[in-house]
Amino acid sequence: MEVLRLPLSASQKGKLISAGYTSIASISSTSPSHLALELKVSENEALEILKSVSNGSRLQSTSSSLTVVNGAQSAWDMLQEEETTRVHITTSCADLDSILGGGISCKEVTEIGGVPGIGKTQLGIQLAVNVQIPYDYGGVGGKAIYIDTEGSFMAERALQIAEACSHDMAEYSRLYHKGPQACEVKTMQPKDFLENILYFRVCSYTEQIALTNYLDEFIKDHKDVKVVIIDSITFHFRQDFDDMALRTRVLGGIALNLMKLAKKFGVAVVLLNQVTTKYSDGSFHLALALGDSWSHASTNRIILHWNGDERYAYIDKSPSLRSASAPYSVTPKGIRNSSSNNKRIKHI
Amino acid sequence: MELLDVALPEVKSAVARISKATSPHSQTVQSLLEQRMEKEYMAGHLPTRLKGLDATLCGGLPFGALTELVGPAGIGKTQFCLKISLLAALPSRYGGLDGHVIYIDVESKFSSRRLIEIGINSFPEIFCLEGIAKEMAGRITVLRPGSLTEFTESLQKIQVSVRQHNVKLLIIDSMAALVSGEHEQGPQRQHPLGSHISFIKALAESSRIPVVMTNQVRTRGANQISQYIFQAESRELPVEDNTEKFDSRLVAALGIHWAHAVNIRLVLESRSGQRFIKVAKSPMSPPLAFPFQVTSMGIVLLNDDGVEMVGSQINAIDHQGLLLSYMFNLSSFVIWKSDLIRRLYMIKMQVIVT
Repeated sequence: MEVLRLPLSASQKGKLISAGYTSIASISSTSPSHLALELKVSENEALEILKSVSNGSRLQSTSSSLTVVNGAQSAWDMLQEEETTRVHITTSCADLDSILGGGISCKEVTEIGGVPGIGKTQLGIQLAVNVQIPYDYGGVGGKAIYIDTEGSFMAERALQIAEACSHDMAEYSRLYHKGPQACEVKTMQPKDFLENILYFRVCSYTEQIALTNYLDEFIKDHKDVKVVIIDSITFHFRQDFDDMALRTRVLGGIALNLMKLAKKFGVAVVLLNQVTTKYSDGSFHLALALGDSWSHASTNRIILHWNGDERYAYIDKSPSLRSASAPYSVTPKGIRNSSSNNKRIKHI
Repeated sequence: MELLDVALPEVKSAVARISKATSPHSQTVQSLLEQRMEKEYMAGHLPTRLKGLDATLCGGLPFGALTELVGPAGIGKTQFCLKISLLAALPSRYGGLDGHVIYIDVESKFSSRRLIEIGINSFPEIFCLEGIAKEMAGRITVLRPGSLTEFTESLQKIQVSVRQHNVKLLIIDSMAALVSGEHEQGPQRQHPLGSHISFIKALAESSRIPVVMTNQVRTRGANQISQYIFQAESRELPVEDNTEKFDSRLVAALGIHWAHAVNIRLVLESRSGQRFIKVAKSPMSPPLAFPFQVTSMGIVLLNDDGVEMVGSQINAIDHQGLLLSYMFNLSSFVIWKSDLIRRLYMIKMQVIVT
């Protein structure tokens, strides 16, 4: 019992325990007059007890401020932590990176949705390759888990993107790392990139649920995984479910699991979603699939869409990023900046 | 917990163990690539013998993936399917997969005579051999389901025979015909082909075979949905919708759900009398359009380099000048006409039944 550890006399401790105060939290939340009444001591003595309680708790907690609830963190501590450890995975498109604040952030769940053929799988493969860029080149230096539910992942395309990335890294190394540094900085071959992408092929929703549960243990064994890409979470959940309520519950469970995963291991979870039509405000329009309840599952939401002849990425929902739109293009090398000369980033 | 009447930690560990057992295995992409290069034909691709198309698809139609052919009636989808079924049946020394083909012919378009004609004209050195024509044609099994329910039943049998009979290709011609007349147009909660898509994909992946499906076109509705709610709310002037410019009044049937489900979408269209085959959706190809022609050898590309299409133009389906090209291609005209008659007959039969 925490009360026993306080620097108080034995009789005072005895009185506290018999009155029912066994934890520090319970004592610190009472006022001196109330405590005096309960313990049948003078108010001064009660004040002394409270002071020693607050002193003791200050020594115990790691932070400089008083924790109101055990196990929670104050916002300041969170900010300190984030400043030092926030990392981003670049998307290889400068415009897109700038509206995302540097790239896809680790420790968060990002949902990316769009019509067929807009480049969702391409972005997924690009992220799986980019997460492996070493620290020396400004990257995260981790491995990737790619969960394929649709069969859209083509290993040849991953090889193409890896080759382009390796080539770009060699260029960068040649330009910026000169002299003795050049020999230390390692170059990555396309083969090495592919070696670090762990691929799962999921053929039914049962496998999908099982895999989401298993990922916890898997990532514990593979500590250097920094991104989990699921392409796409929607496919299996659109086909066989007659019971919509069950689907919502199952999806809710998966969403929680993924959020826990992101927080616990500091990985970026990227979910690729499909599009459906929705009726609201008197008309039909496009919206991301899986319904309104799923839209709360992700921290950030990006919608990829066509705007004339260009592909645009629009930040639909984010607690920390501003709503903005940026163009990108899909090239044989992967995702890159759009080559048009029009005014680029639009803030809304 | 209530079901098993045990404590929470035990339930948690049980769920964890079951999840681990049910999960699929992981594999690094490098080992996946190596494995495919080693064990599968052309690293997991079925070459179509159309040089430009094969180059852009990294070798040909990929195994384990759904390839869709969509286009207006009479453009050459069935011709493509016939050619590709022949290619899959050919022995490996002639560049084929040396396997059986299951051809699901919903609209009764399969013509064995045309198949042999394509074979004789494309591979004269093979087909002059004694008995080859019989063997090749014998490897192609044609199924004719009359309705969606019959198709659903036959899927189970197909799964069994894929394992038993060394089936190397599955063709479904056409998917849209299976559901036409069985559901109403417009946005729906659950797609009627939903479970079939899952099943076929799982089958394609587990047996590593390519699946080719054809799809029809529908007229673009007046209220065709194409915008998100944030686009509609945007205060700036909307960018001109390019699809209107190209006079495209057609869209692929079966909706957006289907468009997501297929892995590769090849759009066949006709513009000013010239037919094009476009790679509209593919995880590994740039958006290229190849001009083609239907000849006695099946489909032939006129240009192997292809024209790169910008923007959402790649998805547009045109049918201008199609009638013009009919006059130069009598056989396809005959097929088109008989197909039309058959459809009218089917509609008449449905009306009598209901």
